[in-house]
Amino acid sequence: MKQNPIVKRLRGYIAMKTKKLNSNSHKRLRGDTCKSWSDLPFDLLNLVFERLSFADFQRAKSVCSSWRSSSRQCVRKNHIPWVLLFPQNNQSNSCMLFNPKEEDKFYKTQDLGLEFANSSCIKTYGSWLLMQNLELNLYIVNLFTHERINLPPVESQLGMTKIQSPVFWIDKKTKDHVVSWTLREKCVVYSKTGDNSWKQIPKTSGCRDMVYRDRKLYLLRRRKNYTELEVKIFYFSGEIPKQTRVRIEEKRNVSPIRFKPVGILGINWWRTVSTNIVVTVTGDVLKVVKMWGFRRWSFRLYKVYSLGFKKYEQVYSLGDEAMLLDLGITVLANDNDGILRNTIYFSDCNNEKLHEFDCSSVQLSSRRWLPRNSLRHD
Amino acid sequence: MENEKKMITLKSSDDVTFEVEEAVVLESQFLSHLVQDCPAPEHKIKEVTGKILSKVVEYCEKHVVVVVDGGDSSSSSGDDLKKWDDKFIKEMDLSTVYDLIAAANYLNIQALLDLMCQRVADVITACKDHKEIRETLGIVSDYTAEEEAEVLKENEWAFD
Repeated sequence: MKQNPIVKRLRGYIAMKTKKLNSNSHKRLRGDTCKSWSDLPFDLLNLVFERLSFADFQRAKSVCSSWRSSSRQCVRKNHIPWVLLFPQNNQSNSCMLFNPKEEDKFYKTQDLGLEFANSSCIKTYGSWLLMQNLELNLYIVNLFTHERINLPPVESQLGMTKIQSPVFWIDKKTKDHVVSWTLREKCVVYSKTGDNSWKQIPKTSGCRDMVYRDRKLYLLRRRKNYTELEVKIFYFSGEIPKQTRVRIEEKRNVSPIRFKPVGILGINWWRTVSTNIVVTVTGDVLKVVKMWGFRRWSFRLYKVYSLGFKKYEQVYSLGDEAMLLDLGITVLANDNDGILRNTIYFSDCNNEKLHEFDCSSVQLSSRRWLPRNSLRHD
Repeated sequence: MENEKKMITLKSSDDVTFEVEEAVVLESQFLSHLVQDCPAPEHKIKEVTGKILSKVVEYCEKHVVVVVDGGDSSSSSGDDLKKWDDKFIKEMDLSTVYDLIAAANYLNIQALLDLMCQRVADVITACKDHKEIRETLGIVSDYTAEEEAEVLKENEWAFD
């Protein structure tokens, strides 16, 4: 191996290299007018911000206005999802935030008001929550800024109804939004920015699950004869949602036996709990069958749509992606940031008032409402 | 290996010169382009002072040696390098960190930039609140009382 005589300096100021730190060195910059940490260019400041924990990042916003405005543009990397605990027993109108990385430490949000405490959260998207109040009307509220958007009244237009498979999306800056949900499996309704009523999307009966991603609504429905599942995709870019050309059908006769491995004594121990759709980073559509047996969860994944074509093949690995099942999406995972690749994150009870989420990254912040438990999908 | 090592002279804005091996210069994307495009024996870097350039050279020298000798990144030299990095930043005041961020960005030395930004992030993390961050980094708040109240309310939950 080559031995490297490193470098010779001709007239280098070597003495400068080993300056000792003095105790006041942190304050050295004070009074120095030509450079200030508040004037650090955005892209460099961003490199610092993306290394901060979410709470530290929030604190940093309070330092000065240029840091605050930089923080608004900061694209933060994936970080471990947080748990959001909703107020219980009318004791408080605040939520608690919990970062699984920081044990025994809870953060309390500001008082979100009595109406919030009496509402239930039915979906989250970044730090935005889709809430339903006691009058069964829907609104979107931001957990931190308190910004609120009331949605068209539900009951006066559609009567008493349960909001099923809700999805929503909101633009952080313009507050443009789309909210959609299923009306008693009869049809899917939606409301966009500025609408004052809920509009129906035709031919959407039997909807079982929906995902909204990148201005497209993905819909899993069971057809009338109950032997076929199909996925429909609607583009929301125009005035009226437009259906795409592809319809994926699955002959039910290949399932359910194929999904369920036969257990001991030939008895089928696996019970299908739910079937959902998940849209991957690249826009592939997966059908996810969640099953319970032997006191644990198991999943079967099938790719049903890829690169504009229908498909049907079982998937055994998520590669570098992690699935956030409750949000219906996958994200690129980075094991160092707390989200593990090839992992499914899901909550184990649909109606539990415990929503885990991450407020920090754009990719993740896109949609959330996730995982209390994680399961390695090998 | 077979060639004689090519030496290059870097000159700072205040005319401090450093003679370094070409391999050291290649740690910087900016300098490697400069050296390729303009094969002069001496390069003036107007944006970086001698004090900061000496730090940059020190860092690049250390890192280039390890790459040549270390081979496998999981070997002990990787750990040694990390220890060296830790010592390198611990002995540095924040004013130098600031200048090194600017220099590493200008000279396009990603690893050095990462190291320095991590140092600032660690300093911010160690502060208990926004006031201490201001104090430590010498930032004068430009918020009006109302603005500050608003932003604090929004982020109140993040404070203990």
